[in-house]
Amino acid sequence: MKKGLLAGILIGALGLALATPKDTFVHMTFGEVDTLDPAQAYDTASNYIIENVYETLYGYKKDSLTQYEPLLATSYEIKDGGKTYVFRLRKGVKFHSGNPMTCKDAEYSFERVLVTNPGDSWGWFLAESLVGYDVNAKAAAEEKLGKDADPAKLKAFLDDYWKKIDNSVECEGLYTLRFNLVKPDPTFFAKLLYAGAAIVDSKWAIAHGEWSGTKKDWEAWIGKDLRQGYLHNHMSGTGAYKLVKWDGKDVVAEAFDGYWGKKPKIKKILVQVVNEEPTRIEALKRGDADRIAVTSRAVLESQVRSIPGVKVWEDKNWAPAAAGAVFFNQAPAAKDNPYLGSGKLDGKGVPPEFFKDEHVRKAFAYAIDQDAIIDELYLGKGVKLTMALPPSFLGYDPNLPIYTYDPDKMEAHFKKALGGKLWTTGFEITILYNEGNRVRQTIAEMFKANIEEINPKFKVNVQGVQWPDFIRAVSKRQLPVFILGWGADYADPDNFIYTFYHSRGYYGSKIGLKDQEMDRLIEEARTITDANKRAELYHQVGKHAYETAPLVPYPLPSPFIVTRDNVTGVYYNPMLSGTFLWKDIEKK
Amino acid sequence: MAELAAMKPQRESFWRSRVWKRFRRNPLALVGTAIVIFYVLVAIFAPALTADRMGRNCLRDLGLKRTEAVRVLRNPLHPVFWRATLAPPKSCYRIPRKGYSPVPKPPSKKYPLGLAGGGYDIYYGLVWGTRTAFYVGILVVGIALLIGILIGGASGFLGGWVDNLLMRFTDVIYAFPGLVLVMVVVTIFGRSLTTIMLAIAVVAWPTYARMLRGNILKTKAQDYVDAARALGAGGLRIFFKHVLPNSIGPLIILASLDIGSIVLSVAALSFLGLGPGVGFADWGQMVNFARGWIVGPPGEPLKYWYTWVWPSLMIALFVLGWNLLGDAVRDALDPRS
Amino acid sequence: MLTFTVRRLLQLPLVLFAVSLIIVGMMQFLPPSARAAAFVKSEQQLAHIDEIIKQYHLDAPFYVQYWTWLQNALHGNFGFSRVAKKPVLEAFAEKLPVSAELAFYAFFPMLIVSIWLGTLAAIHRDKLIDQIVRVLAVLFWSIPTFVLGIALVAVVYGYLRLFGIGRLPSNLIIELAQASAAGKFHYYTGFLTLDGLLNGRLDVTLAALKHLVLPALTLILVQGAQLVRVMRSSMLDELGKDYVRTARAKGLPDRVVYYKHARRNALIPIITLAGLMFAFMINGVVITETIFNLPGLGQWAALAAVQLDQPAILGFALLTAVIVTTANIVVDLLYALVDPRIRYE
Repeated sequence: MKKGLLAGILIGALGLALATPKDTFVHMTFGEVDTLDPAQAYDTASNYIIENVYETLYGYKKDSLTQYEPLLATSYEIKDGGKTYVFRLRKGVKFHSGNPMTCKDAEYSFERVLVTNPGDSWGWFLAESLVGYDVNAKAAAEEKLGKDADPAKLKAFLDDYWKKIDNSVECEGLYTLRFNLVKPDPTFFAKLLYAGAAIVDSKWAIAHGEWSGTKKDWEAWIGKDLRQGYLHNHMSGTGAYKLVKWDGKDVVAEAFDGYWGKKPKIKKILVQVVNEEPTRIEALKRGDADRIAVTSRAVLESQVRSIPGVKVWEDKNWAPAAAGAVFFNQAPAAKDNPYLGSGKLDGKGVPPEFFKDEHVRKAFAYAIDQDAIIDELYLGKGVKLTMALPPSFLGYDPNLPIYTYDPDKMEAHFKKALGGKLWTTGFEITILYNEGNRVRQTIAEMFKANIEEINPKFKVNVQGVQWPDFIRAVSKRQLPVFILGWGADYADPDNFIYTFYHSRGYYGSKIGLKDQEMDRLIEEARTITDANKRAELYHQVGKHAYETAPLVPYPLPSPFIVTRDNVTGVYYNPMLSGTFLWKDIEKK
Repeated sequence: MAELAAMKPQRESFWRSRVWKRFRRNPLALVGTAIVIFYVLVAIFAPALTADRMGRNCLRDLGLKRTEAVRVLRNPLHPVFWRATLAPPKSCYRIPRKGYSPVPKPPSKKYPLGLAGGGYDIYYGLVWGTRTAFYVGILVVGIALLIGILIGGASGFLGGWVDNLLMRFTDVIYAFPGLVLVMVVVTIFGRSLTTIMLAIAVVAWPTYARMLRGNILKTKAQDYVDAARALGAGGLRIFFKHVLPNSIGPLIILASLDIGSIVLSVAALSFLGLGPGVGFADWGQMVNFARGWIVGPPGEPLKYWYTWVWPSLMIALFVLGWNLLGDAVRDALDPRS
Repeated sequence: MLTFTVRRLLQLPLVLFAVSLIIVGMMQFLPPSARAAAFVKSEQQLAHIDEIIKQYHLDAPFYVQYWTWLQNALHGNFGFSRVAKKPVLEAFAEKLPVSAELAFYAFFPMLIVSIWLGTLAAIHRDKLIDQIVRVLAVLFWSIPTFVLGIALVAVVYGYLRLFGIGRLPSNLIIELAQASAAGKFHYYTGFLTLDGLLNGRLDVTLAALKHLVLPALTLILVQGAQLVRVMRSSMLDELGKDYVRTARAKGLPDRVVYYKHARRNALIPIITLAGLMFAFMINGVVITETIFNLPGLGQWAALAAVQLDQPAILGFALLTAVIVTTANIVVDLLYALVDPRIRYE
């Protein structure tokens, strides 16, 4: 006993650590979990935990975005031309608390999302399909009835909203779940694969003070910030892993004995937040971490790849489920706008109609050096986008042309711009990027260099601003040109196409895009269910977008995963926040 | 009044004074002075030192073509030389980039100190960063001194409830967690160099106010002040002619020696992501560029040494110089040997 | 003395009131959309910023926001920290021991070494040892903390493979998480070195100590450098005084004069500085905590400041004000106790 203690002290004192054991997986990353409540979480770090501890009706088959695996549902049917979805639930599934899963839990989980739907959650895209509003009941009431509504009218509105929620999700017996949509929505199935659309242990939740599941107390829960609730840091799901502890930073999970599926090989999980990259890399070197987040290709190639015992997973076909673009604002705010300079065509600013002219947009489009971005920023490993849609999504057309750096075409278009006057009067414009985003900063500076070279009267100011200021400027529609991106909520092209190109889409509306042809194509694609027809429509959207250039997508870095070389089973699914699930890997 | 003049300590010529002699004999004092003079020269001649590598916008704003830049900026007879030296346009503080590669490039003939991650010219950044360091240091200390003297002086002079109120106000500012307050102010009011300087000054002045007030109280208690009052001199006259000059002197000397450490505060802010914008010529920014490159690949751990060694040395030497100078000045003023 | 203390303590609530007012006041300079930005983590959430503003009442006027906060605070509810993902008081209670533990293990070694070196340098003034100490002290104080920290991580942890980062190695983190969930390990104090002993787990104490070495060393080197210089200067002041010359002339051995008398008097001004340094360390040292991944007050405060997590900033500022003011009062009292020339009326 004494000897062992002495040895232990010596080993401890010398700091000799053993690499993590075979049944343990340590992941060091830099994003902090915001909340573990599936109805509230809308960020990658949180969903990474949620997707491993809770389960949805169907899941992606490993890395496929088009093949699905029945998880908590075993089969489904779509009826009424796409207005009704019926799912048969799996029998014999247990929650981490020991409670059995039935349709009641499913109904509770989905209704909870619709009832609470806090402003900063993902509930909007479920609600828009099931209830017809994308905001929660109280927010919708305020929108429809105004701030000081007559209490009777308010009550009537809320009652009606409740009825909609109640009718949208129904159970037929213990193992049949039925969704009644407001209108046919071809994206609905994809939406159900979102990590937050999971089935939560209702009995356990209610016993710990969560919403009762009935109309009685629903008003108190409308729009509530769920970070103050029990589900914020406690989880009872059906997944292969259960939560042991989340202290606000690190997450500890362990394998669930009563899991209905194949028992995972890894038994213990630690997700550790280490914000300093050199520290993460050192830990990987020492084997104290099995997987680490590496923020850039540059660091990967110069510091990480050559570490012995480390494996870099990558494939040229991998592409992130994201898109980023340079946006040209066709209707920036005219008054009190510091970013338009003089606001006139006098060489000291830009008039508000600057980007309404297609020649101006195209000239700017030809200023983006896509190859240089890939070569310099991504060290040659990047993915060019033909349209603002991830390449792996339905409807992406890889054959469309891409705007590349072409000074001659730039000059030609600039000379024709604004009735031929722009070339002689010149302009001064400000491009904003959000501080801390090196990629966007570099793109902005490249713009500046390429445009200023063409004509000394063209002045481009590059300004980095803090996120809050950036948001303020975007919200107020002040920026004439800005760089932003979008990550997929669900694996359906509409999530991107509508957002970027429709006049009422989030970005489309911010840049004053009012292209009727584009709107028509997009709206049609939202209503039909035939995948091939939809793909064809989206191809046309892409073509039209190339011809009118309201925005230009910029290349994205090729993704990679970094682990110790004794980890196997790793795959890349861009829709999974963690790119792969813990239950599928093992350590040799 | 003649008696009063006789009682005041005589002011001897500085160059013959004991203070200067003590200072001169201290080797570390000379080292410190030499270092500070070196930095002053670098700061003054920044345009001339970087004439061959200036950014396009800086040249444009100075009205120079790249071919004539070297000739003009190293010629003290040319008016643009003076414009660049005394009032360079803001764009000259943007470090020019050679390419955009996030991987640093080692020192070469054209870039003697190498390129930091993102293609930033380290030599340019360090030279113009010297100006930023002095600019920030002097302004911060200046503003903090101004506020400190006003408040500390009023407190010491007026006494009574004014003193109490002002000191409690000072306590409030003192009680604020300094770095956090600066971070909040910068986050709210923007990350311009001006905001950063004001924020640091606002956190720093309480120390000076307290010091001045303490000095005033000590001086007030001294004999010759009592004597002056006995001889009939008025309160205001006593304060401005006798008390204040004797109290402020040590304060200003000590405060000016804080110029060195302001650089460290700004560097800390850069580390936390709140420094002046990325690409601005500031030493803290340059060290921050090196943050992910302090360790290289296995087998060549010091591969990117130039990204952090030069900026760190620059900062360390600057602070060292000021500190040595400060120690030496204090030692020289010290009447005990 | 008593009245002095009581009066200073009574002024504390006023100080706190002023601090909170200033902070909330400053936050009003941001329009609601900018404040909402702190809630927005992704571009998708950006699309719903109006709902966010309404949900969190970010467009309420200044006095409403302050009054709501004040009422809650007086009832002990300091709000919810978005950065810490838990209520402000809970976050503070969890993070204070982390910072305090580091402060504890850094402060006392630093104090001992700095006093020793400072005294040594003063006694052998202008000789080689003095020059070396002075240059080293200035050098360590001039190096930006994060350069030193990262260098230590790379060299000592990465290359030499000694010690560790974070509070504990990962296997112990997992094991303790499971044990505490099962009720087999209790965090009595939050100080891992103590809790290890209190739970009969010597290995936890040792591991925690091991992980404290590098961050403590960083602090000792950087902060200690400052203390060495002040100690030296103070000691020099003492050594120049008449009584020292008299004692030596009288034939008392140097050792007695220097170490027994002069140093004791030289320590008086050190008390102030040391006290403030300790308070400063307890409040959390941002850079050190970030690099060595310690979830202390410093890291929390820094994130809160950048993300404008108002409840956290307020809570932290107030609690810090309490600590600093208390430290000031204690220091002033000690000062008066030790130096009979000082009188407070």
